[in-house]
Amino acid sequence: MLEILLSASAMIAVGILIRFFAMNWLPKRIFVVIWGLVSVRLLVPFSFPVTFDVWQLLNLPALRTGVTPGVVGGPYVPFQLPWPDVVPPSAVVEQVALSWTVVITGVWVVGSVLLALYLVATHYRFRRKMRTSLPVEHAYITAFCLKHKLRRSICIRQSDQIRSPLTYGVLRPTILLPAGMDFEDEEKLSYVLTHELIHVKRFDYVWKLVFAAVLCIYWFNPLVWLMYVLANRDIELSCDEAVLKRFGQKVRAAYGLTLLDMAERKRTLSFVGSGFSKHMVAERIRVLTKAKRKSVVGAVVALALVIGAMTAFAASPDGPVHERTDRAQSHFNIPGAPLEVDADDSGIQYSPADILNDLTVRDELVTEVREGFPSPEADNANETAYDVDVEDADPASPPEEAPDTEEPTPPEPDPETEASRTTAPVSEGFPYPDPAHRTQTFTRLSASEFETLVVNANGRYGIHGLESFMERASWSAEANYGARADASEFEFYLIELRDKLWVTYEDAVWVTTNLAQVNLRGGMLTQMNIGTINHGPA
Amino acid sequence: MKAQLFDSELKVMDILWRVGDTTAKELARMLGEQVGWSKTTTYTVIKKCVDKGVIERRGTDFLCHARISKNEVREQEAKKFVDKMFDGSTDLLVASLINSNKMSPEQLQNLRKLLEGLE
Repeated sequence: MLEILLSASAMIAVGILIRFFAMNWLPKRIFVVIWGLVSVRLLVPFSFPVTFDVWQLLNLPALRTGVTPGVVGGPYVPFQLPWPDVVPPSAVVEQVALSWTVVITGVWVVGSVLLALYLVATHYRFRRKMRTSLPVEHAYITAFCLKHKLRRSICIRQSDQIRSPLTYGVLRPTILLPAGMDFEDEEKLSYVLTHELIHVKRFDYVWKLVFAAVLCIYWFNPLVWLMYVLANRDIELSCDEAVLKRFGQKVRAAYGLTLLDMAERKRTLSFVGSGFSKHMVAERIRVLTKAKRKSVVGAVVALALVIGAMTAFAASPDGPVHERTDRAQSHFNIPGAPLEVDADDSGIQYSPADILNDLTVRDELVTEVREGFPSPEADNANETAYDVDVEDADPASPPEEAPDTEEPTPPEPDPETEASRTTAPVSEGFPYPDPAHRTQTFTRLSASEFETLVVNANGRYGIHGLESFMERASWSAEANYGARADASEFEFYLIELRDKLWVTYEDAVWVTTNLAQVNLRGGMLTQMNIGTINHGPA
Repeated sequence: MKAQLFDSELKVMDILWRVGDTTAKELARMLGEQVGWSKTTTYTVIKKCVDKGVIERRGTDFLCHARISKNEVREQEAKKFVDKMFDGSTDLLVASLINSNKMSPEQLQNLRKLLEGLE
């Protein structure tokens, strides 16, 4: 418990520092990812007390000698209830300590419940009010809906009880526009709708709920409050950024004016609906004016720092922090919720955090990407300069594994994948740009490389792996940004691809095909043959 | 009848003005088709209208009767608008409407008749 608090606090602190010092040099999305990571870290241990007994029954008894699954409570220090008839007279000191524990736990639970009730009540009232919204009948809105079809049908409605646009809903996302908005001003309308659409696509509403949940549980931690505020801001900033990427930097001024216009109307009603709120707009416009060329290296370093902060506190099962928390936890042992299990007196401790860290996907993914695409030193024959700077700047990455000089690992034997391979097989000698034609330091991802990565990441790691992967891929797209006119389009497709992949594999193939076409148009591929894929700069 | 009506409430009133007295159930059905409200949502809005005194409940099957006419609401809203934007002077409003070229000759003719009628 303490361990989780420490590592999460450290992550938040590092995140805040990075945000403070490098705000304008980093893609804003990275902060949302950071806050998301921290939140998951904070939330996941809480499901363990519930599932842990099952886990134990299935696996751990085998490690333990002389303990039958039925008496799992055996090896733990049993929780002594602080009542006189239970506690022997000799244990007075312990009783005092334990009653303090009870008081603290009580305060914590009451605080959590009160905060949760408040947030739920506020939100419920808001949603109830929003249910009386009216449909919008306007040619532009209808056209927008038709143009941006998602798997979930988007509802665009209006209400005279709000003053600025907002979005809510998960399965049936609703974009709510204030009544009296000028539906003839199509430029402004397109910015507003695109902004809200990106919220929908990114499930920002869900993330806001997650952040609120974290706040309810960790209300006593001031850093978590800070994170809550910053996370909500960063969701907006990252969304603004995506809008600008979509429309191009030239609309910056017009978009800024739209923000101002929306802000003048009023602040939003709910803590969770994604929308334009007044006090944030100043910051958002400031950020718009300061947007700089984003640094790939910076993004990697930032993420590495945060993950480093997490692992430094959590991923060392025999490190000093862990031992310290062992002792601290002996006061907090509650029956049915063992945090530490000493398997067989061998001194090996299994904590939920350890199990969790075993499953940390990111490092594996980094290795995966490298195995799939040999590093420059490893593969002289192909002489690729694949993401050189990224490789160099990633201090948290695991050591290079034995370089794979053959063609990259093909995707897992998923039948669907195999099917797609038959239509677009990866040729022998994976297609890297011909060194003679290479002009850029960054070798960009080609469509086929990209597809292999996507298939691998999706098949092996599911959503989380893919998320990590997409971050990486979008950095590559960042690298593209300066070089190619169509880079923003490329990136837009990346974002779309990520969202689509949350649903099915077929969609991924579909978007990847689109991606290849965009690449082709952008001159990234001069030639794309389905059988043999060749490419090089135009 | 100084009630300030929201768009949602006006939507309910609008049906009552057009169709006449309607049961709550029927209102819910119509609004469900028109604007996609659930039954509960419609009932909530009707309840708000009853609280504001613009709808009267009659009989056992919750027959809704409008206690305010469309003209009353129009006049009320128009007055509010004139007060807010034209410092309460109607002539400025008319001048503004005429200046913005939004009036057809026929409409101007109607306006003239209206003014003559007043004098």
